[in-house]
Amino acid sequence: MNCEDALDRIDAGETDDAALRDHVAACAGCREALVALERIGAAARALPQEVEPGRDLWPGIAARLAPPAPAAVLPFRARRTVAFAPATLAAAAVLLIALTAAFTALLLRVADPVEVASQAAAGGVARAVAAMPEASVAAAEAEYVAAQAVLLERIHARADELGPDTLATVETNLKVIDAALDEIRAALGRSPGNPALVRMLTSTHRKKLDALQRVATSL
Amino acid sequence: MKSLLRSLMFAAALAPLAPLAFAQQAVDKKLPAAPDVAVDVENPGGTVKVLGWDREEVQVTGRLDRRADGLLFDGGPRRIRIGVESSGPGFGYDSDLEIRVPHGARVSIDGFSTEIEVRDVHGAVEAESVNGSMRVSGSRGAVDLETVNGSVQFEGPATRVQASSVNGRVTVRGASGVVDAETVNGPLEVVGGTFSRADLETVNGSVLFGGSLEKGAVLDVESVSGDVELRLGAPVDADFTIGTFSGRVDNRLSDARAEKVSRWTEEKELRFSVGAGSAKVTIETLSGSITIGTDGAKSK
Amino acid sequence: MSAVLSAALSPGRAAIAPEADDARAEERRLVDRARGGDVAAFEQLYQRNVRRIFALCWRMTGNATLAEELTQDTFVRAWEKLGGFRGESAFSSWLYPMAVNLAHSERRSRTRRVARVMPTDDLTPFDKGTAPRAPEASVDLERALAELPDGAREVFVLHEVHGYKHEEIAALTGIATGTSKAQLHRARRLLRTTLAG
Repeated sequence: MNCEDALDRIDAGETDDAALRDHVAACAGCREALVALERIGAAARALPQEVEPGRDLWPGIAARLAPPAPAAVLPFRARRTVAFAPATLAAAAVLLIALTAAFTALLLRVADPVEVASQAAAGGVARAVAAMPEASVAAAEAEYVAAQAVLLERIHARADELGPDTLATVETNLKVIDAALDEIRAALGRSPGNPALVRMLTSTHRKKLDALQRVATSL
Repeated sequence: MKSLLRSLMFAAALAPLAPLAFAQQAVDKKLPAAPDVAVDVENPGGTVKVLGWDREEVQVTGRLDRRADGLLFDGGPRRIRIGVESSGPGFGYDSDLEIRVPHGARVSIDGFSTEIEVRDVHGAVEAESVNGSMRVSGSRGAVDLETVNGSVQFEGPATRVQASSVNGRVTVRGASGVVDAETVNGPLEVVGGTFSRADLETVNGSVLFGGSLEKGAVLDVESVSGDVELRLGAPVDADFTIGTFSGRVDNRLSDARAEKVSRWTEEKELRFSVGAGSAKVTIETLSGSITIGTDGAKSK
Repeated sequence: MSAVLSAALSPGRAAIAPEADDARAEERRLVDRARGGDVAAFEQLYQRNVRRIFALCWRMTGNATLAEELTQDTFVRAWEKLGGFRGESAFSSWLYPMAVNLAHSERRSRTRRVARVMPTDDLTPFDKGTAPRAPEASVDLERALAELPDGAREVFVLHEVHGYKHEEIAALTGIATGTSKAQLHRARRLLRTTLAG
């Protein structure tokens, strides 16, 4: 095992490993890293679970409290939602957040403060963010596309409840969004990994998901 | 609110309902209400018009679709619920409700194929529809308006506005503070007072922002192919970061001009500060053109 | 959406701290009163939980001002959703996921800004007037945490400071379990190198 592998395991928390133990026993550098990480972990666990805010937050909350929601609910939403299995809804919702977050995470990986700060000194912010690997963009996009397909399928399955006008609107707007996505992808082809374009691609995908989600959960 | 409704739906199916009106019957009912009563309205199709008035009463008039099962109208005086009952599909209903509420009321309206209008209500307003436009005016509180197919118009002194439409125009006038507005396929216009944060996003529509930015404010605009225009209130005090892939940039605030960032593409970037640069303005487009100036250019 | 999510979640370490039976009964009474519209009762629930919620929001976002807002949003949302709290768990374990969810969602709208605005604008809590007090010894770690990339900080804070498992983090924030692990890995590497010197 070399130091790179050893540090990788240490950072991953996979320290219960014979090969790693052997390496650490022989390598002062990795031993130091292991100790440092244990110290950080211990310090993190010892951080106060409670922290006093810098100002009294209650007045701001009190001002925003409406009378409590009633225990019962209104009729049309209530009845219809029984037909729309809540598990399906929840799954769709989780899927939506998961995708947005995953894509976001990919973006954040390139937006490392240290890298950004050092590179920003030399050039514009847009260029300071390291390019996102094309493969990651494609992979993340594929996930979006899959989620959109699932929602679209649900919408079509509920066509009777939604009515033809709604479906037509959905289709029209999906076309608009898809055309925009094509434009962004074409631009990405000319400027691969361009962070501004990747952000735009993300937010356009998100709008598409949002729109589908809104229709899919409207009944 | 909505997820709460959903999570409680089984309880609701069992809950006793208020006496029902009969199909096609005209509706005319009244309940006493607190000046800041919360009013929840649901109507799957047709129109909902909510008007503020000087009385401490909530009144509902109108007519119900023949297929509707009846009208729920109960609660009070701090919260009143009004709902058209229906058990069939979501589209095709046509019931018209005109509701009068105290000026200080908070209103939440939920619809599907529903046109929504709210006037002279000063509390928070929340409205959601799928096929239907909404026009809301007067609110001084938080406003949250969402539709899929239809325009969204707000006019009033609200300090927190969220407005979005997928297929339609979104217009916000007179607001200040925090605004978050989005369209896919329709123009987006936000013109108002002084903002601390504005997030404006569109895919295909144009964006017009007119207003001032408070110290430390953040204004973010993103458009794929629509044009973007800013008319900022003087004196402008902000850092600008503007990027476009193939659009034009017209900067009327300073001498700074957009520069190509790459030999290989048309991509342009422009970064400059006006004043102490306390607010942050970021605009990004793919092919939309960008114009930045002060509101002095605006005809009054 | 978050109500559905939070209902399906098991609480993290802080949330399952054992409470004396009578304290729990007192909490039940406060919740019941608050559900009936009693703002004073809700204020007591606020007083009992605000420091915890704030700590979580602050560490998740690395920004004290934003954390104050998120803390307020959490309690406002809790008030709105109080009718859905069935009392099967402690109030705190119902409240906590709500804060995590809000803090995480906030990132969605903030991400673009963080990526293109200088990180020092958003990520240093200590130079803000309203910065909370932290005990001397932990200042270095808190500062290093605040300087982590958002995703890495979020996972590190939830996992290491507040004791959530990767599966719980995944369910709370919607990221994949693998992403959670990868972010923790990244956070550790960055912290290790940052704090080594």
